[in-house]
Amino acid sequence: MEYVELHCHSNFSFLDGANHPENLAEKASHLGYKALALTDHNGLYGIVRFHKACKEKEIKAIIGSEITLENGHHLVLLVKNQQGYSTLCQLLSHALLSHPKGEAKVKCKELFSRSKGLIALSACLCGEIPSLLLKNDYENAERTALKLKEVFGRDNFFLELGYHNRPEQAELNSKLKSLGEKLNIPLVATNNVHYKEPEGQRLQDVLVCIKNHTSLDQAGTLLYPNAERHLKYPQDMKELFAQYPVAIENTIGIAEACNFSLDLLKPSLPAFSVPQGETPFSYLYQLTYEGARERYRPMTPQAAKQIAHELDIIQRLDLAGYFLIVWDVARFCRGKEILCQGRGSAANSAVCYCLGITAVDPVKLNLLFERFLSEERREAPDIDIDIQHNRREEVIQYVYEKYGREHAGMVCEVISYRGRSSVRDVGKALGFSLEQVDRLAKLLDHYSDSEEIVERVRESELKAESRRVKLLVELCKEIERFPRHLGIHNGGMVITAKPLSQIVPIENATMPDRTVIQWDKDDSADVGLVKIDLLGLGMLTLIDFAIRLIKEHKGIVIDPAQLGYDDSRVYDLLSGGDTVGVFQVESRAQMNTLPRLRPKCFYDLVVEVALIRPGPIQGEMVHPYLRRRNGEEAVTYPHPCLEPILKRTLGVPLFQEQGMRVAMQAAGFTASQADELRRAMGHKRSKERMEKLSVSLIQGMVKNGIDLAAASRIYKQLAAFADFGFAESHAASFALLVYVSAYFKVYYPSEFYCALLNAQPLGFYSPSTIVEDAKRHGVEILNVDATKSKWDCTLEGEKVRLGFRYVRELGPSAKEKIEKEQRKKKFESLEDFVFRTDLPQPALEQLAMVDAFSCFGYDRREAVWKVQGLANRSAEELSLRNSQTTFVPLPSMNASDVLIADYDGLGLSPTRHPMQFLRKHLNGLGVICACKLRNADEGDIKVAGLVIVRQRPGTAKGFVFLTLEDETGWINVVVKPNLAKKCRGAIISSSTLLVKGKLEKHDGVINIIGREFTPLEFPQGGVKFESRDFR
Amino acid sequence: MNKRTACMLIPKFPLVVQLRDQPELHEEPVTLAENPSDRSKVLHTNVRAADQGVSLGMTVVQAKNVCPELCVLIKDAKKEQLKFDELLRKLQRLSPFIEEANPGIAYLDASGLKRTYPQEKDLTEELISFVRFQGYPVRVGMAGNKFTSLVGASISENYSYTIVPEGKEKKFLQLQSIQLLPIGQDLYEKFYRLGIKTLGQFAILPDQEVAERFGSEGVRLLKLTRGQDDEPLKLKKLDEKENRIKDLEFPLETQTGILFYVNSILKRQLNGLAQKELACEKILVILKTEDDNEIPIHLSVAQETNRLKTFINMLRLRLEKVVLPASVKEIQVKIQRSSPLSSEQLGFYQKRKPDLLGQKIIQLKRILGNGNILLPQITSSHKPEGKFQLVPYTSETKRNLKRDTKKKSVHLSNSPFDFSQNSTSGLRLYNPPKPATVRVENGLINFVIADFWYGEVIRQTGPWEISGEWWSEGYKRRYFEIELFEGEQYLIFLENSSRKWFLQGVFD
Repeated sequence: MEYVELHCHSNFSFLDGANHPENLAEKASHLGYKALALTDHNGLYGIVRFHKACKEKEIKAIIGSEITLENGHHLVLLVKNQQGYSTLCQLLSHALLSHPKGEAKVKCKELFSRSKGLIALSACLCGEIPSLLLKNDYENAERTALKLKEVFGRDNFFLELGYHNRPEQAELNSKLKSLGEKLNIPLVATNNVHYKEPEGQRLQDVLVCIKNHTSLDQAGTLLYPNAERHLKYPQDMKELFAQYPVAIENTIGIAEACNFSLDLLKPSLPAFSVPQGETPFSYLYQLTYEGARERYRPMTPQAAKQIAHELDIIQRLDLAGYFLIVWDVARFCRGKEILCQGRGSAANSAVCYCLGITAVDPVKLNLLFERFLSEERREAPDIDIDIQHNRREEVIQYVYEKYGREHAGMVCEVISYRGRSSVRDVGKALGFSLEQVDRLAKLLDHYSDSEEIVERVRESELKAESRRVKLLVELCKEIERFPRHLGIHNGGMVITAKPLSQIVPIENATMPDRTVIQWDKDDSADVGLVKIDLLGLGMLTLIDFAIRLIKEHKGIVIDPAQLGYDDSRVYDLLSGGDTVGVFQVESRAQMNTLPRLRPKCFYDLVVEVALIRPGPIQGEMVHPYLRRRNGEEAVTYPHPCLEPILKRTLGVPLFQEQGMRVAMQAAGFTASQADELRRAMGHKRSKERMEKLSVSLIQGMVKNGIDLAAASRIYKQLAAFADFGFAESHAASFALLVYVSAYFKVYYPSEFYCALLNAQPLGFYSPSTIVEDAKRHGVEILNVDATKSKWDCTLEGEKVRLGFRYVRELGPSAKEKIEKEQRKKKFESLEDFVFRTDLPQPALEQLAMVDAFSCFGYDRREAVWKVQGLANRSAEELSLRNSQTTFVPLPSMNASDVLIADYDGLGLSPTRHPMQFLRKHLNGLGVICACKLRNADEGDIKVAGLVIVRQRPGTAKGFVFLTLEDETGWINVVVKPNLAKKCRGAIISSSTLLVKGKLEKHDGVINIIGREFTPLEFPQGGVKFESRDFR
Repeated sequence: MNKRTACMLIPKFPLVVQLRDQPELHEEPVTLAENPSDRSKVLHTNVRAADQGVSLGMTVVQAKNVCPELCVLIKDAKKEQLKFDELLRKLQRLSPFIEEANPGIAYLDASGLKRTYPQEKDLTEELISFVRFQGYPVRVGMAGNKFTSLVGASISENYSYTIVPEGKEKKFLQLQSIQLLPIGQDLYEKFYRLGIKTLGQFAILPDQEVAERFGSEGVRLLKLTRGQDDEPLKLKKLDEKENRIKDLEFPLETQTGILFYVNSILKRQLNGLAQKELACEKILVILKTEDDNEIPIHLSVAQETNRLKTFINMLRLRLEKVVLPASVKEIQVKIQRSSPLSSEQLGFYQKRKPDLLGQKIIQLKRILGNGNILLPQITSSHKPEGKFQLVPYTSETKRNLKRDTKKKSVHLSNSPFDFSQNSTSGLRLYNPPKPATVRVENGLINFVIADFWYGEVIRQTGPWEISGEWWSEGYKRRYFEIELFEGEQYLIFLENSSRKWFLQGVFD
């Protein structure tokens, strides 16, 4: 060991370091380093990845951070041992929590009292001592150095020398040397690394510009003067510091002194309190069998065997406490009547099913328990719980309360650069105008990758061959997946026995009163932090609402678990693609697939949920599966040995579990390797990991007698999972919700639509589209009524009464006021409503405009006039004026005025569809309405409607899909890429379109292949209609 | 005689004013925005921009997204006012009684013009052709009151008119759009909710009910819509009476006396201009003598100014050359041309005197030629010669300089080759660096020839390295500080790409 780099920034020094921690570890290994420190600014964000990468490369990972002190100066801290790690975490947590997000300043007082187990380096030019020396303030430099020496101890404080071929550093080094000699403080050399190779200067410059909101042309000396801040060969460092050999030697001493590894962390769960005389396992055993008696009636030998098997493994892995903690959360939800359901691999567990954590019977569906938990992996499983989204906060607060804020926290989500964001930021840094980058960014989806940027540049007005545009593309590629800032994960909570701030730094989130740890869910899991995902799911809210409405109006108590999942009417509805509002299968792609797949049983729904996803689509699995299912193609297997694994999905691998089994069976992977493959399949950063596994996977398959072509095909199919592989158990949990929501739509349509409207925003479609769908299903929608409406939509017999929540201008305070007065007594008159609710004038006028006051005998305009007259008046004044009512000749509303007022005020119309007003005109043009398409001949056709959805899926190669709605139904329009580009204006910006094209029918799916697109105008100036675009 | 009012309306006046100065934009899609910000709202558009989907209320960014080749002009209220004042002054030829409502809208009292224009259409046609001649599109309305005439003008086409016969105001207004009422968006939305789309629909509402809902403003609007606008014309004082001193206490014979009175008149006028952030370019002083002669003295400055002293000095010089035929009995001072005051300068002259710098620059330009007046700017760069640049002087440069000063100074404090800041080394830079010949032996520089000197190197420090600007031409240099035998010290560098040596500067 000749030299160890002890001051190194990765891209987790946000917008400063220009390499992933993994890349730095790899480079260090390549250069022959035996150890490397990671010292990102004010955090330990990247240390888990760094630790893993170092482990892989067999070099020692030294954990550290360059902290910012309250005086603004930097100090590098390195962790010597576990105590040091814990101290550093606490120092950082305090610094981060006591300052606004994005700032962190460690109080000197705090640093002086917490320094055990840490080594400090005086830092770069931004360090206090270097700054003072550069100003020739030797007296204060000495004082500071002595203080730090005293705080950290003689052997734990070093004066840091740096040399990037800069004159000021040469001067500083000599001053530091003198100071060190005078005060007996050792020197240490570092290179303050910001990128692994000199080429990294480009990206680092760009990052600096992004951070400082400037461009490269303007940045000037904000940028580093040269490209020397890279990992250098030990020999080069020795030559650079030839005058200070001891500074090089000391790097080795420090590296040897730092002996903390994240493997030592081993965070544990808090002990779950169990009844006296019980152990966690005995208590879990008892609860499981109590649950089993409820769930399995009668208990089958398979179920009994499975439960016993699982309990055995849980006992051996000592995970009973974890299961009890999750059970407790589910119990809390049940006690508070909050709908919850375990998702993901937990549904593979019969114990989870018995404990009421999951709702899918894994025994009945023959799900693979080892996907959830295996003895070989020896780690806590991941249990995700979906909770009805309107009550998720109650559950989070319960966890905080139960375990204390010191021991519970939310994991972060590292927001990283993708297509749009990278184009915007890199483009601005390169000096492109805001409009140019904005225009290019808008051509991209949020998750576009760098390859797509190349495509879109060609479409934009930018000259692809210009140097700056080329740089833009190159740098966007480089910056892709770079962390930009932290967000909150949408539900991941970690619970620890030790205070969390001793395990990982905690910082403020943007959301008030929320804090997050500095690791995302994968990093937390890698360290062994046990995470419970408490995810909000809108569909559970809908189901909860529907169950309550059915109970209230029909006196029927529905338990989704007892539905049987075999009702033919439900499958008929699904087979017809009539799925607006139905969970997971309401997108256009799903709607088009359902008539082809024609689900007949619950497992078909499991397949349907997993089938229409980017993974299977990219892996070209969808059409083969459908053809095989419909008998148009023979069921074959890539290799006979795979038949038992793939039989259920007709030879087409769809699920992660199948991926695991294929790897084990065909390539001879061990369970552990197969699990790594599985993780790669369901992982955000999985593409790279999948590629790494590809060689051994294909080699293994070839070795087992599968020819190379077939092996490559199997690998391609598996690799497609990298975008988002689905666990079979997860699909099963979701399929359950598909069935339940479809069941409600079939048997309780009024309750279903009422619940759906109350659960908004939810799903794919706007309330207007949902209301039109309800009308087509015979559910009458009643307008808002000041005397009958509640805040939420309600049922009046089988009719749905719109609630006040749909009236624009009414917000939470209006809700409070209206509900408070409604609890007192019914509103008796318009005046009574106005004075008691005391709503602001615009809100009252909006209510009048949507006809909410017709119950008091006023038409819309009369009500507006009346409301305007009541403004700023007291009830007393009003009583004096009651007798003096004058006739006011206001113009009356015609039908289109009513429609416009409804769309203006509610965003929907309870009565008419806007297209009705154009129908006469459209009939004259030979336009066919949606309901007649089924019987129309294939060939040229004209259709028209409101554009309710626009989509351009990444997997569709530039095709745009429009869904039009008229008063009779929906029309699917397909726009070819060249036309999508040519007619972009009309397609993107028109709320109503007339489309000329060709009618095509296939397996009950009707599409219009669009040729001409003409925007349509409404006679009265149009309705304010919001479509759901490119979601 | 019944009151008659003509309304002259120049549609989109703020945009028209801007386009008059830039005829090359007539065929382009153009829009006018409140300010240069991307979020600024579109105030007016020309037909070409509107055809491409640009509409009022869009932000500039939105408009540019709709129409990428859109040209965005920025509203200039002072200029508008100036141009409109100029037009109105000329219009006084037609009627001396003019009210300016807004830039772009004016009312003329047409009541007493029957003798000159027997038919009302004669006046309206004259008005149209007069304004058209000045280069503006125009619409004219003639009616018994201001509001009705405005509505008449608003519904007319460009270069045409609407005459509302006497007593027919109410009937005329009845079917006109409610949007013609001069009201804010809030009130308009209230009317929209009531279904009131025409002025007639509003006019028939009961007075008291309207008063309860819309207050005195509602009552006023009711009167307007019923054709009962009785508001008199607020005449614009286009010719300031104060600019003239008649009947002096005693006739003036001396230069000092004349200057004294001119001083008092002009001071007031220039203060008035300054309050409007305008400055004066041309002044006419008319001296009327006792023998009824008028002696005009024109004074003009190259750069607009509000400095009284400048004009008084100029007048003094001119008066020295003028022989007065008789004593002066009346003095008149007219400001003939004014324009917006230039933005504030930095340095050289004290604050609030921007005109002085402007004048000096103009003088320099006359002497040195246009384009030879350069402004030094400090810039931020790691390249020593890049720390300073000369840019052609324009008012825009001045503004940029002011905006950037703070930022640059922050940058400079980090500069590693910052010889200008806190440095005692006193490096004089060669800009551009001069080529040098260097002999290197055993990795050490031992002899240098550059420019007009050469010598043996006895000591060297370095190399220091800088590299950057990879996004344009890019550079990478290795610097050395060298000392020659006789003690001279130089900064030289080796350019990586060309492998050539250059002399960067000499240490004093």
